[in-house]
Amino acid sequence: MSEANLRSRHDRPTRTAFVTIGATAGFRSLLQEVVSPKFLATLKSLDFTDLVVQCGPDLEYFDSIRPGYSQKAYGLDITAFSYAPDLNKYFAQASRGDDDNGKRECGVIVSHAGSGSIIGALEFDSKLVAVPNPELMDNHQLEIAEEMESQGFLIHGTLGSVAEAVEKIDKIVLRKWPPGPSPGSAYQEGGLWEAINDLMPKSS
Amino acid sequence: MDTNRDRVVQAAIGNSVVGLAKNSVVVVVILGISLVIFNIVIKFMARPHVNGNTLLAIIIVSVAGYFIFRMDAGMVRGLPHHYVLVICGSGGHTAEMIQMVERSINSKKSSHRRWAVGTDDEKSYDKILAFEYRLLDRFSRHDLDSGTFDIMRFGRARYVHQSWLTTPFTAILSLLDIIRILTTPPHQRPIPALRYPGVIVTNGPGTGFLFLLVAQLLKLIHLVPAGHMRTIYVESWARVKSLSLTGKLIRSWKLADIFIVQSPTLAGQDNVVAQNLLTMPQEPSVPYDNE
Repeated sequence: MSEANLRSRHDRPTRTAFVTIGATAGFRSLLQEVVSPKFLATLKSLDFTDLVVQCGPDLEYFDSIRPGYSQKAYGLDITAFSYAPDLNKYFAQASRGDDDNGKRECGVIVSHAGSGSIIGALEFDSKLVAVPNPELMDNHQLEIAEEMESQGFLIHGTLGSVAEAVEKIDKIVLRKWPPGPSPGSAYQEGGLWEAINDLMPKSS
Repeated sequence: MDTNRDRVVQAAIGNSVVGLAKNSVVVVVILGISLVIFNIVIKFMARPHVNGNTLLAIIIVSVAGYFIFRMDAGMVRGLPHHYVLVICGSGGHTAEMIQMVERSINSKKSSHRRWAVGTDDEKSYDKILAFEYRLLDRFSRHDLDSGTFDIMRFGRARYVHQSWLTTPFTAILSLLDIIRILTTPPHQRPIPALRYPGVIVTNGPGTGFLFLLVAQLLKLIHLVPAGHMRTIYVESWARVKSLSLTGKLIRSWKLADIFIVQSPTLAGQDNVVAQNLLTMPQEPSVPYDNE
């Protein structure tokens, strides 16, 4: 990395795209897509500085398809790992906030459409693109992604056009998670714990 | 498998409660003794002025002082309390359950939380411990009582890839575990009212159904006092088009006193009590600390 390059990294805010494929199954088609020239060019045009990829069982495979370490492809720092016990650090990195070196811009989280990953990512001030894994047939990933997109919490990405989905992030305003209770539902304020309190024996 | 880690945590919390009570008792005793000495000193120094009113004032001050210190000691005992059993199935379900509890939990009542976790489910175990530490930290920052908790493990009725020949045996062991978890009183709270869980909460999968079934049987034979072991089932927010198998079973067997679905599209089908994503208030009852 040249000195000019180093300085420019410090001067401008960082912007991270975090890709996670979950803890259970592999998702090679998504890994292929996020290192495709089309996707990387999109990130570059949106001023991204970092691409972090959680690869699950396919770290070796990812290393074989990613652009080489030496050539700084599309001005992006690409890092990859297989699993981490807690992804919050990476979710935070891809969301708005202050970094050690300065400002972070609101990045993007590209996730498989598993319920655990979605609910984890939505806790952060970021933009979420959820891509259903078509190899998991009865996992309801497509259902979840469609429903959550129609409710306005995330962007539903499909294999082959994840780049187009990521392009939307600067134009779309997403709803804040979690939503308020629907009109007419019980326990408006207190949530689950209020329901528990309500059901407890009255003597105690 | 429920050896060192959970005992250490339980012991730590138990000790802090006992320590608090002991300290307050010591303070009360010291205060009482000093009042008596004070009284004697007054009597000796101003004998002609001592009358009934002074004595009355001293008595009132000592009684009031005693109650004020009792209130401190009663931070745990004095609050109304309850005992809730939370059944965690596996990975994603546990994460969702913790998120619901974490956002909605308040300290109006001092709760004992018992978490039931599979013996093979280390991830859930770690998530629960991490949550309980966060809760203790958050509530003590706000000077609130976060209650007590324990974690108990159950064997699975059938493990993945297990032979069907051995399944009956593991199923019986699993059933015994479930009964043990339902009927063992929490030893952090040796209070008769907390002998059995007041409410059982689960969000699936399979084992949650078994727990609710066994609880129903225990209630049928009147082993548990009336009004205890009421049940709540929460369908995952990720079920947007249809109920899960566990959800369908629990609904058709009427095992849940409150049946919650979180998707508006599932609301109102066949007596399903439906609320849209009610389980997570938009703002946590007790604020998170963002540092």
